[in-house]
Amino acid sequence: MVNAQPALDGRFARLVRCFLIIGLMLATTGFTVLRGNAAQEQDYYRLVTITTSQALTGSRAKKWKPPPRELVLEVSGLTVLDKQRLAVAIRKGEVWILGNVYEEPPSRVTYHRFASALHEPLGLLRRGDALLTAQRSEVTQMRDVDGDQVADEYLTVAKGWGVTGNYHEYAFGPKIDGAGNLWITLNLGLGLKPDQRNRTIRNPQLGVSQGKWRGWGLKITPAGKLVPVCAGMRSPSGIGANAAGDMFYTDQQGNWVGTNALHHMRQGAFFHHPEALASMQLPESPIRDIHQIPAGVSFPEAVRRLEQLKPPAVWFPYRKVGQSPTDIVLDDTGGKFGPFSGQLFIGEFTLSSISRVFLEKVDGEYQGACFPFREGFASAVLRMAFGSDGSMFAGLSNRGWSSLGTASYGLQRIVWTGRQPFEIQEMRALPDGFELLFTKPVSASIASDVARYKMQSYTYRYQPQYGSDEILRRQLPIQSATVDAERRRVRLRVEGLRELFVHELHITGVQSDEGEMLLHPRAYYTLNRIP
Amino acid sequence: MAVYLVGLLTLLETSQVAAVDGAESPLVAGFDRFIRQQVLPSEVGGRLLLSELSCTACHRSSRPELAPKRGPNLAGVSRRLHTEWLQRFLLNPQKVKPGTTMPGMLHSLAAGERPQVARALAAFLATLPVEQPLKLLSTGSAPLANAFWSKGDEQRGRRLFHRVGCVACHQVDADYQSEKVYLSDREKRLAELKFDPEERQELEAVDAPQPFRSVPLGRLSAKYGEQSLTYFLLDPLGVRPAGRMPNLQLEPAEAADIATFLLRGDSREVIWREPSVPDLVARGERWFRALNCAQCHPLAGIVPRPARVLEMLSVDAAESCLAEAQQGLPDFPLDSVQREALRVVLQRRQPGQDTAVKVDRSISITAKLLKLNCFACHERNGMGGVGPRRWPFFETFNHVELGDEGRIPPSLTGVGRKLLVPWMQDVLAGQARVRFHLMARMPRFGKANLGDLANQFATVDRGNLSRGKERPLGGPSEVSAGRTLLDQGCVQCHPLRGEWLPGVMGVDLADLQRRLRPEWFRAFLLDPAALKRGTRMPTFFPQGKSVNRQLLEGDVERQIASIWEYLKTIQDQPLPEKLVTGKALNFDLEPRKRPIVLRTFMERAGTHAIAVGFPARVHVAFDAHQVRVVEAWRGKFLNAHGTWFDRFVPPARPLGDPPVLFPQGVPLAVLENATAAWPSETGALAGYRFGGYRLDRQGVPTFLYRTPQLRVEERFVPLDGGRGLRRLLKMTPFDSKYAEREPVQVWLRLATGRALQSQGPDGYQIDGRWTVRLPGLTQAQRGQIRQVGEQWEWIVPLKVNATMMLQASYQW
Repeated sequence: MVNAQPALDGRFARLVRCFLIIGLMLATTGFTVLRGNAAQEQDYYRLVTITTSQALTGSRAKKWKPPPRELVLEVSGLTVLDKQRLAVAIRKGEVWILGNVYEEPPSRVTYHRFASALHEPLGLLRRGDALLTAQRSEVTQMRDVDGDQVADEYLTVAKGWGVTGNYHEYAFGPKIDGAGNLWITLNLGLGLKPDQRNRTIRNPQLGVSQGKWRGWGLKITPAGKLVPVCAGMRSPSGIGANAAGDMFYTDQQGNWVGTNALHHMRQGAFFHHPEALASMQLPESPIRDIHQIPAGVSFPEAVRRLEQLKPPAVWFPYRKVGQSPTDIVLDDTGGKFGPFSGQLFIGEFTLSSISRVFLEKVDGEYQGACFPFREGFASAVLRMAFGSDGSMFAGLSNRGWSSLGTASYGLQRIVWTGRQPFEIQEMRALPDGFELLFTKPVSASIASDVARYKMQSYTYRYQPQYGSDEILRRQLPIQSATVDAERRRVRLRVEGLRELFVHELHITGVQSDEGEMLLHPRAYYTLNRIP
Repeated sequence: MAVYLVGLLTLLETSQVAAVDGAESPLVAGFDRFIRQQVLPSEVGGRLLLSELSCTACHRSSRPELAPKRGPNLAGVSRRLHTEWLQRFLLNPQKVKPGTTMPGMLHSLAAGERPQVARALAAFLATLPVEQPLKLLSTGSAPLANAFWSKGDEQRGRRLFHRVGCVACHQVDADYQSEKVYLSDREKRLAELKFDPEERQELEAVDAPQPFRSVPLGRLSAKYGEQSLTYFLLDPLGVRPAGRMPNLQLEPAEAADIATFLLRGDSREVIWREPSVPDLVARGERWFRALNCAQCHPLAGIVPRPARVLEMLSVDAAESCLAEAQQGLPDFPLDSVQREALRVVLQRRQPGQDTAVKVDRSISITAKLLKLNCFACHERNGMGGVGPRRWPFFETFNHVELGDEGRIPPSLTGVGRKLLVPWMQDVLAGQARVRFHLMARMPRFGKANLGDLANQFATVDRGNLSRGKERPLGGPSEVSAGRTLLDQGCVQCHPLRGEWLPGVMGVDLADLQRRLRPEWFRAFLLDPAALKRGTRMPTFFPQGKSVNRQLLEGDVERQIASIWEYLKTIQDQPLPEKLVTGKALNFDLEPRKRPIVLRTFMERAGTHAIAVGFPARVHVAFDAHQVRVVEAWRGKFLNAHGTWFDRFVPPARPLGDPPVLFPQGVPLAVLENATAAWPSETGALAGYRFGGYRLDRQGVPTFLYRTPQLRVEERFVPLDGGRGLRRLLKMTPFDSKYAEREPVQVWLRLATGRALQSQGPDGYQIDGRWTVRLPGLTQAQRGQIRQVGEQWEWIVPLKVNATMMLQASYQW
């Protein structure tokens, strides 16, 4: 294994030392400072910084430059190789293999370049002895055939979607589902220039044009066939499977997308953005016959008017739970990461944080609740992966945008301290309300007081404008709060539930036996169906 | 200045006492610093107090420089402040916030009545309409955490408070250690100095900036909630339009941090206890009118009662704000020095005496700098500047070593000579920043409060220049010479157009023309230290002679004029060579030992381009979408900046000589006969499928693809000496069994061009530019040269019944 630090000749050594010192100072003065909730969250989930950018210019500076002679680890893909090694794709187009990543302090981490010449890879997956990534124009399988630890075979696994040359046409993935299919998602282009328009296909009836399969989720079957599955994505930068092997993706607020959301990818589903329907007339399209888009109405109304339109499993109310969701990872650590086994964690770019999602199936469709989980990362959380020890890697890069975390990039690890956080573990829908499961027994006298709970519901407007306010808001009276015998479950009877609306719950004063307050006393349930 | 100090030594005793006793007198920083310490005469101090204590709010004066400061805007006060604090403050302002300029207003009421009045006033104030709060959006480029004001960090806030400029006026936290500034022994002693001019003289420090008491904050946690203090810090001018608390242009998260620090963790929501009982509100309004509060806190619909105009006031009147607290008048607990200063100025202000006095512009500037306390940070003509105790808290970004110049806000001496008026206006409006290395920020004071300061600076400072001292730029200039001179000197310390050499931090020179007067620029280059004391800027023209005697014959005037001229047109000029080289170093790809492969966007090779650069300095680009080789070129390879780091991913351009172009369309096609047209479809439409590539031990890629009939492996390697490329094709039929009997018959199109000239049996020269050969061909195998429209093409028929290898060479 080769260390990434290039041999430093005398001329640069002084400079590099200078940057290291500055970096150290930044580390003690800037990035590692925890804000707000992070201060409490770290009692339960602490962050280990493996590396962060040491650039002299702030990541928001107009002329941001990578620091000289530093590996610009703008993480765009992560996959765990074994008990010591982690493979990291970076946006510049390389794959690095990092060793000793679990050590604390992480001072002996080794860096070894495995692959290069990839065009903005935005995912990384290990399959057997090969690594897979989605580049802008294809899914590529990289392998080291001759045994020198460097990839020498870059085989095209799938190709054939439109690449007009527009910057926004990112390709994400792949991730693998329960049946062995590889999944990718394709961004829409934004603001195409005339020469880029020449590479689009057009649906004149809907008046939309985009590159082929842009705004779609596609799978690559084990036989190597590229199959379009679902459409209407805007900027689907995260893909992930749940414990059942079903695939989800996250989408970013913007035109036609009222707020960020988590969607279940399945055959023929249309999610929101109509420009993706430029590809509807292609013979392989599983979506047919959308002739009109019900623009400017509430989302529930749009779902009623357009049969193909499928609501998200979870809406992430803007800023309350993130502002730009990214990766999806399943907690399959069997408890090594705390009490959230089987749930999904969602990366968050702008607010440099991670959220948590609980899903259940009602009438065969997924819906559920989201919660804040951990803030205070050094930069935008773009990729996550669980390590072999049950800790989670967070790959950071705020390229092209900006984030609360002020480093431009980096790699951190989130380790459960072993202390049980007092949290709303699950929130389930009931015919007449919700059932909360807490991570610890609650004080029954307080938890049965309806005044401790406040609920409101609202939805979003389905419109061509950027984002949407929360609309049709209604406060919902809590009629009763019943604590079960083990004091971990509380049933809330709520009047006036509305299907397809977000139901936002605030809890005040509910305590655990030890007198702790909830670490995150708010929950947001997307009630597509009342059971 | 020294004259005052020596001459007025006799008065020192009393003023010393007053200054110390002055703990409960209103604090006006400029007064404290310059009048109390005898730097400026009492009369200046008196005038300062007239405006800063808002005397002229009631006692109107026609003179604009005496315009009253006035108090905060009270709309929304019930959202901002804890009601309990407000009532206590009304009862005794100096006790709750020692040093405040708010006079006591309730002292003349019966002691038992006062709390009732305070309560009623608070109730009334709570009914004032709340102005639209500052709207803060969280966007992708300026992210904002949900409920960001509750997520401040005390440690970070403490650091910001001591770094961004708050401590220029406010009290330094005794526990806070500045991180990196080392003080000399003399500076340490200076910092320990009290207000004793004698001691200052002993230390030969009469000219050193005088210390002054800090502008009081009071116990902020008793006053504000975390949200209201955060919002106040983000927009102080919205609440206090006078600009004495300027806007430090904080990011929302920074404001939350500082608020958390100031509240010392004792943060809560604003508690407003007063119920709006109509009767109480009505009483409050009556009191608000009766106490004439609207003089300093204007409210729509309430017209304050006028008081005697300033010029009509008598110093010795029995009933006066200057006397002991009196019924119906505000109570200003002035100390003796303040009283004396007001006496002096009011005595001179007898009717008829000063109407003819024309306000001297330089006095007017000083008055403005005193009011806004610009002197807290800036020195001008020997007055003011960062005080010795606050000195250590001014830092350079990342502690890069730039000397004091890199951490202390600049001197304003001669600023009107240096800067252009529009630029000064921008700076004063807080819209211009060039010293990104200074941690202290230039705050925004509000346009109305600055008046015409920029023009005043210009008039005074340029008027002071003796004739002939300043010369315009002279001599015919040469832009290229300017560029060379910048390359030899300036770029070592200055960024240019956002590019800089490693480790360089300083003022970007690119928009110099917007900022500087050319006359000053010339004088500064000739003798930097003469215009800027203690500057690190070296002179490149010692004794008026250029260190570069070759360029423009060493003509100093022409050299300076050329630098100016180059900077003037810099947006259209190439950067100085060192910067160009430095920039290219980062991203120009130069294959040294092994080939470099880059997937990117290219104009000709499209959005699926794979470029291969060879150390032999000959390169080729393959289009994985059309599945064909597209172009080849010699010289420099590619610049990867757009591919690696530019969000908008512009296409990468071949950097070397103009490329040679391979035939458009697929390389191998089945034709009905030798005259059939070459198919126009490419890539997947032609049944091709790209399969990736393999790298050999040397790192040379072999492209893998399929035609409808064949598996193809194609690779390029440089010809000896980089004179061109060798193309190796390996073709295998899918169905080898069948092919044994019935070979696959395809055509290979080797070249197209407007003119093909035979070069022996196995080659052609194309358009006079390059030569293509397929060595070892017999005449029969040589294939066809045929004309298609304006084009000629060379096609070769192949019969593939097993794996077939071909080698072509392209030389130019």
